[in-house]
Amino acid sequence: MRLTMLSLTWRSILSRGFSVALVVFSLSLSIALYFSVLGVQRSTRDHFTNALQGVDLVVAPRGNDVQIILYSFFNMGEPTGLMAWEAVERIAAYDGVQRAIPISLGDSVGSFRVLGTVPEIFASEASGDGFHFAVGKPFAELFDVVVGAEVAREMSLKIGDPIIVEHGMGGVTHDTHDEMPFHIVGILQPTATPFDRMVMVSLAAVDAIHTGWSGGKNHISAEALEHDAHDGEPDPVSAVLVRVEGRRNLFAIQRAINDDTAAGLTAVLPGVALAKIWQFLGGAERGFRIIAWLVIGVSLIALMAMTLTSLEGRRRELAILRSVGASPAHLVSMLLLEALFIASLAAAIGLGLSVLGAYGASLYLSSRYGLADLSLAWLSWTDLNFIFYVLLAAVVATIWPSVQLYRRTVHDGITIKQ
Amino acid sequence: MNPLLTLREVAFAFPSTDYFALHIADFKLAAGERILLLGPSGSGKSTMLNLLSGVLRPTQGEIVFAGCDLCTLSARQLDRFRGEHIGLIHQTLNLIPWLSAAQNIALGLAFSAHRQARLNGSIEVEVTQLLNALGLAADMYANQTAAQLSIGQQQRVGAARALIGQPELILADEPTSALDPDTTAEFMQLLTQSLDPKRQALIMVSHDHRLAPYFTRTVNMADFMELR
Repeated sequence: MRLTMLSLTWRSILSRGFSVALVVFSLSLSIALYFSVLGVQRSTRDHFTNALQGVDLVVAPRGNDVQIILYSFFNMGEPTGLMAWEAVERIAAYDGVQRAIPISLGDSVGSFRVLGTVPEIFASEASGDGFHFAVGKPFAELFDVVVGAEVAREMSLKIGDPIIVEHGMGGVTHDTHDEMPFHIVGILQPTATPFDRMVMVSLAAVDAIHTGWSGGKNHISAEALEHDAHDGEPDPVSAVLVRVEGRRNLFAIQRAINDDTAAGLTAVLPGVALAKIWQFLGGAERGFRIIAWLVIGVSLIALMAMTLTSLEGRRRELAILRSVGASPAHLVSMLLLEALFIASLAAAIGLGLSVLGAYGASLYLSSRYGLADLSLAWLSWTDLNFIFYVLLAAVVATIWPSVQLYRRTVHDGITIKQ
Repeated sequence: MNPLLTLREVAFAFPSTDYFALHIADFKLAAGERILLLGPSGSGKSTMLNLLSGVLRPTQGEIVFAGCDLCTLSARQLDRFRGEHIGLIHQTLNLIPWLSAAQNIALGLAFSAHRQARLNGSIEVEVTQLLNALGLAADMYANQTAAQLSIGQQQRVGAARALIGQPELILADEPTSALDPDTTAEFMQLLTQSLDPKRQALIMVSHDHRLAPYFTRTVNMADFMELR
C-alpha cells in the first residue's frame, strides 16, 4: 500500500478521469493529424521517387525541367515538342550510357495514356527496378499491347483482349483508331507509380496509329500499316530515359546535351527536378504542419485550462499533502508528472490512430488497386523528436499552473481552505 | 530529561500587519505530555500550529525540537522534518477524497522514511491495527472513501494518519469542533489512549475548555498574545 509520488499522481488523475480523458482525446487526435499529414507527405514523395527509379537522365526537347519530368512520368501536361530519331541514336552513343529508352506520348485509351516505347523498358528486371509481369510478356509484334495493373483492373482486361487506342487525350470518341486490331499480350504487376495507369506499345505502333490517322481517315488496312511501320526510320519521340554508368559520365553527358544548342535538347536530372517540385510544394506542406501544430497548441491550452481549474478543487488535498511532509516542489512535480503522463498517453494513442489509419488506407488501396507493397514504414525514428517536442510543450503548458500551485500552497500551507 | 520541544523568546508578526503578534518567552513540552492550547478564534492558534509544524518561521527566537533548531533548517528540510516527526489532525476535511480510508492513513508514511521504519509489520497490518484501535472495524471501513464516512469517522481516520509510524508530536487543530459531545468524548478517549505515553506528545488547540480533563496541562493562548 506504499504510496509514492507516482501512485499518488496516478490516483489523482483517475479521480478526474473524465476531464483528463477529454484532454487526452483531443491531444491524441491532433497528434494523429500531424502524423497523417506527415504520412501523406512521405508516401507522395515515395510515389514520385519510385516512378523515377533507374532513370538517371531524362532528355527531351528544350523546356523547363520540372515540366519535362511532369509530362514524361506523371501524366501531367503535354510534351513540349518532338525529338528526331537521329537525336535518340546520338544520345545512346554517348560514353557511359547503359541504355537510352525513347518514349512517345500523346495517345490514349479512355483516360489512360499510351506510352510508345521499346521492349528494353521491361528488360531491367535484373537491376530490381524494372517491371514485373503479372501475366504475359513484353510486346513484340506491331499490335501487341502491355497494360499497367490499374488499366487491366479498371477495364477488366485479360490476355488476348482487343483494345482501342485513341489519338490525343481525353476520350474523344469520334477520333478513335477503331480499326486498329490491338490486343493485350502482357499485364504488369502494380508498382505504385504512374506506370500502373499506362498502356504500353511499341514505337512502331504509335507511328502506325498516326499514319492511319494523318490521312484524315482511319480506313487503312492493318496489312498496309504493318508495311508502313517497317518502312523507313521511326517517327520522332517525346523524350528519352537514359541510364548512365558512373556519376562523372552522368554530369558530362548532361552538360554535353545542354550545351549543344543546335540539337535543342534539355537533359534533366530527375532528382533535381523533384527537389524543385518539393520546394514548390514545401509551402503547402509547411502550412499543413503549422495547422497540425496549431491544433496541438489548442489541445495543450485545454490541458492548461483543465489543470488551472482543477487547482481550486484540489486545495484540500494539497494542504493534506503538505501536512504529511510534501514540499511545494513535490506538489509541482506531481503536476508536471501529470502533464507528462497525459501527453505520453495522447502521443501513444495518436501514434496508434495514425498507424491504424495508414494501415486501413493501405488495405483499401491494395484491395482497390492491388498495391501489395504500399509501405507502412513512413514512420521514422526522427518522428520521436516530434513526440519529444509535444512532451516538452505539455510541460511548458504546465508552467503557469505550477506557478499558481506554488503560490497557493505556500500561502495555504497546511491550513485546509474550502 | 530534555524536553521534546522548547520555544525560547519566540516572536512572530505577519509582515503586512503590525497590530498583532505572538510572543512566547519560554515554552517547554516533555515527551508524553498532552497540552491543550485554549483560546478563542483569532487568538493566534493557527499561527502557533504553523510555527510548531515549520510552515511559518518565527520573526525571532528559537524553536528547538528534539535537539534540532528549526530556524536553521531550509524550507525543504522543514517539510521533511514535518513529515518525519509531526502528525497533524485538521479541523475538518482531513481526508483526500480520491483515496480510501486505508490509503489516507498510509499517506502519513509517504514522505517519511523514519515513520515507515518504525512499523512493526507491513503497512497493511499497521493500518488495520490503527483502524481497529480507533473503533473502525478494518474489514468494513478500510476501502471506504471520505464521502462514505461520517464526520466523526473521518476525524478518526485523520487521527490514524497522524498516529501511523509514531511521530514524536501530534498537532491537532480543533479536531472535535464539528462533533457532538458524545462523539467528541469517544474521539478524545481513543486518541489519548492511542498515544505512547513514554515518547509521544500531543498539542491540541481548541476554544472548548471542557476538553481539559483529557490533557496533562492547559495553556491559555492569551499568555502568548502581545498587542503592539
